[in-house]
Amino acid sequence: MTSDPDPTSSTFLDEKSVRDELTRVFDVCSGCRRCTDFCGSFTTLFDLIEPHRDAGRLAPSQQDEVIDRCFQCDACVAVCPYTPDRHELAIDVPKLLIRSLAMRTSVGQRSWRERRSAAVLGRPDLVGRIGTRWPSAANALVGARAGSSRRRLLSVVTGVTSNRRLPTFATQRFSRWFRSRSGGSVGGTSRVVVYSTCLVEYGDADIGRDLVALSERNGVECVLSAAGCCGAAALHAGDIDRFAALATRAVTVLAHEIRLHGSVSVPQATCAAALRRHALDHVAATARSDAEFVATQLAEPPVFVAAQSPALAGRSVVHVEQAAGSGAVACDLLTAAAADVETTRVGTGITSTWGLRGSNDDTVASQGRRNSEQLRFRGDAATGDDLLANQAVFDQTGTLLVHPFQLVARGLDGPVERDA
Amino acid sequence: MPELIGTNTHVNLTAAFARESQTSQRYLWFAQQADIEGRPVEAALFRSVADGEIGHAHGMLEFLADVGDPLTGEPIGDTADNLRAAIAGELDDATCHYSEFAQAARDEGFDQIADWFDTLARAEHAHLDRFRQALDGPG
Repeated sequence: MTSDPDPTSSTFLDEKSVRDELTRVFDVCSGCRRCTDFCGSFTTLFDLIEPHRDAGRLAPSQQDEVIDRCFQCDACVAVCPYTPDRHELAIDVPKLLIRSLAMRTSVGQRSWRERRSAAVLGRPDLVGRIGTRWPSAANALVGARAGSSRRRLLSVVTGVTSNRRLPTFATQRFSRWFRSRSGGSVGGTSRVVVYSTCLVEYGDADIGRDLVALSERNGVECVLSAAGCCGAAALHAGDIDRFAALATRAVTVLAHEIRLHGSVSVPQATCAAALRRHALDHVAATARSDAEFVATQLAEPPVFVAAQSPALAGRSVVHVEQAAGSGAVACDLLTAAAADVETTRVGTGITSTWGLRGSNDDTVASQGRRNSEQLRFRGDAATGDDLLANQAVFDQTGTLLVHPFQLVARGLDGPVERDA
Repeated sequence: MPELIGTNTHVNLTAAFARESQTSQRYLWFAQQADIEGRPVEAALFRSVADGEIGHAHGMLEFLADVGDPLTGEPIGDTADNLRAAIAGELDDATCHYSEFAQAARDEGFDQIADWFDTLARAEHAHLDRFRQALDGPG
């Protein structure tokens, strides 16, 4: 049985090698179908296979339909009986689909619209720096009503969807706010490295502020990471080389910071997943031990979780894990706050910038319909650990998933509003 | 040893095999839930005990193999017989059981569950094809 070769090998982006692997994996998926309800990728795959029940008869364009619907939530990995750690078939569908996307990018099989949106959405650090430099002008554009002429023009130029609300830019970058605070030291014995991520640094800075408030309330000092962008957006755009470069720098710096200070917190599930699941596969050889170390540390709850927060005592909270493996931290935090927590993957939203590409509008809509059918919350509050997924779920269903850091920091009555 | 077929022990072995099989799957699912909750110790515990329950189930099947497949009644033991028994089971699931279950679920208003049964019927068809190919051999 074969599995994905080393990303540095000559066959990693070879079209025949990739398409043969897709056939092998799709054949196995066809016999299991556990993931049917998770997302449009599997529904599409099984619909395409049904007439002949032979994955080998799928045309490349049909394989691409499956690839293009994956938004890298990793929900399938959590339940797959054939993952590398469980079975010799060694199947990891999201990683294979990332590889397939990178292959299609490398051989020129992506449309101009897809390439444009990948160029924009794959560079959140650059876009964020520009947007927060001129937030009023930038937000006049991205904050315009969905479907408006301004948004349609933006979509024509950048390939970004005109049909969804877009994240807006913070009027003050999180790092500027962090450094401008007076009296940042709480004199505690514990520290946590805050790896804010581009989405918090340039967008939802209030999530970062709540994380700091929560930590300092519990006597934990925050240290701002200098690691920079993790490259997740580049990975999801199919730019493997750029991801490798960014992830190499990120894990090298982050590993040093964690060894120095002891704990790390990453408020966005997508970025944590990129560092935890993908970095080791792609970083430079010299950074592999750092990547392994960071992945291990990301699975540990940050030190402030161990301290109690009485804000939610006795309240029932449903946490929607937005990227597989990320829910444990939220669960620990909410449990420490004495909430009655239920964790679920039902109704997972679209975590990555995939959902902001105009070429994916139809699939975003169908995922929204799936979410609307599956999301049934009872209880006092619902949380989700990824900004983009929470926004997608709200836009699609009207259900507000609050980031767990914000819920614990502010309690049930605190307002949760966008910064811009 | 006396003939097993038709005895209370035959019935008990069949029931025990079903129970051990279900238990192993319950524990593997519990392990996945423990993974979601970030409880690796409990997840490993469920997985390790699940392996033990699989061993128990296999032990039951060793006895039951003398009288036939507990699911289909077909002879089992060597690979050719096992493939035929597998085909019989998958055929039942693909063409009979799951479509009946889907209809019943739809009649009772459980559309999502009905869809799941329909999905399984198609998955079992895929298994059926592969077992038939294996039994018929290359060419």
